[in-house]
Parts: sequence; C-alpha cells; structure tokens
Amino acid sequence: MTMLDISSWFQIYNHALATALINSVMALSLYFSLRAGIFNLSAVGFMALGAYTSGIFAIRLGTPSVVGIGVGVIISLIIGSILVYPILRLRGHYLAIATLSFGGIVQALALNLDGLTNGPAGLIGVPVTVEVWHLSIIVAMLVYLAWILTSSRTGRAWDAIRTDLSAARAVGINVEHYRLVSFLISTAIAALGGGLWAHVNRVIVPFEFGFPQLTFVLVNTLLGGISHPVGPVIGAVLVSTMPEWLDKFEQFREMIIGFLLVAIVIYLPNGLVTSFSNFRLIWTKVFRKIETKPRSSGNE
Amino acid sequence: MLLQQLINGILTGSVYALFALGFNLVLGALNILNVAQGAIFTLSAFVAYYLISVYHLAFPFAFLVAVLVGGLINVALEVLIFRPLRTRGGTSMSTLVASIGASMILISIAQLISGAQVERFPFGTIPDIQWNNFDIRISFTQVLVLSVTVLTMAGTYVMLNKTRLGKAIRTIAFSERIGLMLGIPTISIARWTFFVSGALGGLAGVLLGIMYNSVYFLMGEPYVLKGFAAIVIGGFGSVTGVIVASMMIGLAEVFSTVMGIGKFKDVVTFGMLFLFLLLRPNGLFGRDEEVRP
Repeated sequence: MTMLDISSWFQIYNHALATALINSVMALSLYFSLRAGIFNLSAVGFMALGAYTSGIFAIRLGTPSVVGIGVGVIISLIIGSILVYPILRLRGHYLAIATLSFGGIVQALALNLDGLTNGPAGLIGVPVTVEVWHLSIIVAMLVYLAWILTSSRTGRAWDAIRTDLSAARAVGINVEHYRLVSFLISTAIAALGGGLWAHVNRVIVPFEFGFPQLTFVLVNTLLGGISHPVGPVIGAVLVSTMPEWLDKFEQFREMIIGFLLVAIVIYLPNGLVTSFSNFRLIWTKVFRKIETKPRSSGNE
Repeated sequence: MLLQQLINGILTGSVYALFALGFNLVLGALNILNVAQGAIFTLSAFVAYYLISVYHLAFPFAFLVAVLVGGLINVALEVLIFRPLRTRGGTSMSTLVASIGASMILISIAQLISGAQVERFPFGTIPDIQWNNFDIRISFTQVLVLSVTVLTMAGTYVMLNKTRLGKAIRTIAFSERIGLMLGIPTISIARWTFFVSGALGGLAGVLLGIMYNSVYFLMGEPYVLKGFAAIVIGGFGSVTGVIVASMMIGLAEVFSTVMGIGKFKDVVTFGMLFLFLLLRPNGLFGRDEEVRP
C-alpha cells in the first residue's frame, strides 16, 4: 500500500469516519445522563438546537464555525438549565415522556419557523470546516473528561444515585446537585455534537432529528454499555461503520438496528464492555477457584 | 363555522382517544410504555389497505381482519420480547428501549412492503354521502368514525369494569404478585391485555386511514407523541382521563388552526403536556402515585 492508496482510502471513508465520531459524541452525551440514572431522551432535541444555531450563525451571519458552535452550546445550556428543574422532579416513564416531548417541540419548531430554519427543506450550504482529526481530538478529550469525572467523587455519587436514589440521599449525597450536573453536561455535549454535525454534513434537515436518530443514539450507547466511558465510543463506531461492512443489506439497516436494540436489552443488558470484564471475572472464578463477590448491576 | 370546527376537533380527538386507550391499558396494567403501538397502528392500516385494494374484500371484513392482526402483533411482541425481558428482571426503562427497537423493526417492515409510498383507498370503499344542514357538512366517514369510536370506548369501559377479564387486568394493575396469589393466570391475562391494546391501536389506524384517505409508513409517529400527551394529561391507567384529554388535545389543535397558529399546533400540544408534567404530573384522573424521585 503506497501513500497514495492510504490517502484515497481516507478520502472515500472520510464522511463515514466523521459520522462515526459524531455519533460517539452523541453516545457520550447519553452516557453522562444514564450514568446518573436519568433516562434522558432529550439529547436529539439539543443536538438539533446546536446544529441549527451553528448553521444559522454560519450562513446568515458568516461567523467562524467556532463561534456558531459555541453559541449553540451556550443557548442549549441556558434552555437546559431552565428545563432541568421541572424535568428532574419527575421519574421513570414521566421523565422519559417529558424529555421525549422536548425533542418533539424542537423538531416542530424547526419544521415551522420558516424564516429562521428554512422549514422542511432545511438549511443548505453550511461551510464544511470540521475535519476528522478535529473530531478525533474532541472525542478523545470527552472520553478523558468522562473518565476523570467517573472516577472522581462526582462519579461515585452518580453510581450511588443510579443504584438506589433513596439510599444515596440517606447517606448524605446531594442528589439534586449531582443529577443537575449530569443533565447539564449531557446537554452541552449533545449541542456540541449537533454543531459539529452541521459543519460536517453541509445540510441540516429537520427530519434528521426525529425518532430514528434517537434510536440510533440509544443503540450506540447501550451496545457499548455505560460501565466505562470507552463503551459508548466503541458502540458508536461499530454501529456507524455497519453500512460499510453490510452494504448489501443497506435497506435493512433500520430493521437490523431495531433487532440489535431488542437483543442488547434482553441478552446483554450491561453492554459489550462489561461483558469483557465479566469474562475476566469468570476466568478467575473457574481457573483460580477464587471466591468473587457477585457484581451488582443496578439500572435505575 | 364554530360548530363545524367543534365537530372536527371531536373527531380528531376521538381517534387520539382510541390510540391512547390502547397505550394506557398496557401502561396501567403492566407498567410498560409500549412505543410499538404506533407501528401497529401503521401496519393495521396497511393490512386493511391491501385487503381492500388487492384482494377486493368488502370494507367491514377488511376492518375486522386488520384489527385482529393489530392485536396479534402486539401479543407476539409480548411473547417474544416483553415476557423474556421481565423474567430476566428488566427495569421499566429497558422495556421502553426494547419497545423502541420493536417499533423500529415493525416500521421498517411497513416501509419495505409499501416502498415508502403514500397509498390511497380505492374510490367507493366507503359510500360517499354528505349531509349539509345549517352550514355544517358531515360525511358518512365522519359518522362512521365517531360511532365506531363511541362503541369501542363503551365496550372497553364495560370490559374493564364488568367482566372477569377486566377485573383480572385491574388486579394485575394493582399488583402482579397479589394477582398471582389470588390464582389469576397472570401470563395469559398479560397476553390478553396486549391483544386488546393492539386491537385498539389497529382500530385507530384503520379509522385514521379512511378518515384522511392516506396510508404511509410514518403515519404512526406523530400519534405516539400525541398518545403520550393524552396519557399524561389524562392520568396513567385511567380510561375516562384519556378520553377527556384526547378531546382536549383534538380541540386545541383545531382551534389553534382557527386562530391562525395552525403551524404550531404540535407546539401547543407539547406545551400542554409540559405544563401538566410541571403542575400536575398525575394527570386529571390519575391515581395519586408517587412520581417524584
């Protein structure tokens, strides 16, 4: 393989790689929510918000991409910090419905505020300024941030809240504070993912931020599992590159994702990354005859 | 003019009510938020369409078969997905994720069958009769939709409150363990609940298909969100609440069109949903369960 081959390979798969990395950003956004036990389905709504803000800034005002993306994140944080109070007072299905309907509101606004978002036709001609290496650095930084936070006091508080909220409160953890932090980090990362997506894809269409996108984010995060920050990234890269190694089944893509989601939830509830560490556990159990404590796996 | 809009609002609301009723039945009895209801809605409408246009079946028979198919798909989902998931100790969130996956599978089946085209029922499926009185125009289709809806709602109410099956469903809704202790076959009752819920979804799908005379693979998606709004506003597990809330949503949509903000009717609906979640999360007629963390 010569240098030329390598460079042409990168050109062909450039867009696929960029998409995979942006899906990793979105999966990490969901990771932060799920880690604190918040079943937050508003990531796609905030992604749309970030994408439209940076798209509008780039096209209508001609500002550099960094400004548009930054403003998108800030606007999402402002809206998120207003919404976080009513949303985090809910639990279970109520929380899922509230966050899901936020996505519905954003999509309806994107479809109908013609003057700002250009309606169903979408915004066309956002400058393509974000390269794969930018995205790689951002994903690496986010994984690092997630790893630091997860292994810190905050991460331990999140684990406690996820496993048992009342018990966490009883031992004196400030549940409201840590849930709020998790929600806002998740919001900011989702808006960042949206802004980057706008500058990779050139076109922003409201239909991209609907239910299928949400299932996509869910399957990415849950396939990798939330026991380690690398999990969502692995899941996103596996699922996003799927069209490349399954190109004969392109029309069955959504069906395959649906099957994957069902199979993961039933047979692999903790995701791929945990099963590898479980494998090590079973290994030691069987071959070293060491007593090991059963792993607890609380999802809520 | 105002009366005409009122009739339109009630009609829209009644289809929402049928759809949300099926949603609410499974949610109230088994604590499963079955998003795949929207896909069943779509598939039933397709079954009715193909039976009528390809096999030239008369409308009432096609209608019945489509409703049965809707119920059976839902039972299949329970047998293949939800029951294994619950025996493995899945939480309410993992059942929601599984139903999102199931909905994805069913919708892509509908897409593959139809080739993503908008289908229309052949002319004369429903007699084209219209009555014009006092500036109000009512078509036969509208009368049919309204009467089927009223009959079904009354039937569901009687089924839940008077029959053995209904009593068993309400017992499970109270507590599945207690139902088991009383000797109720909870597994088969759960399947029946899913069947009734799927049949209601299928009924709504076919009625909506003939009301707007269009069937396409994404038609269920907005109804899932409207159904969420209806069950939150009405209260989880309450039949009366869902009907009242659906009428409210239908009327709000029609009147937002009258007021000239029809483009934002979805925003109005979701705004109502958000207000309820904020001020009264148990809904209008819901059980006073604890919803706060």
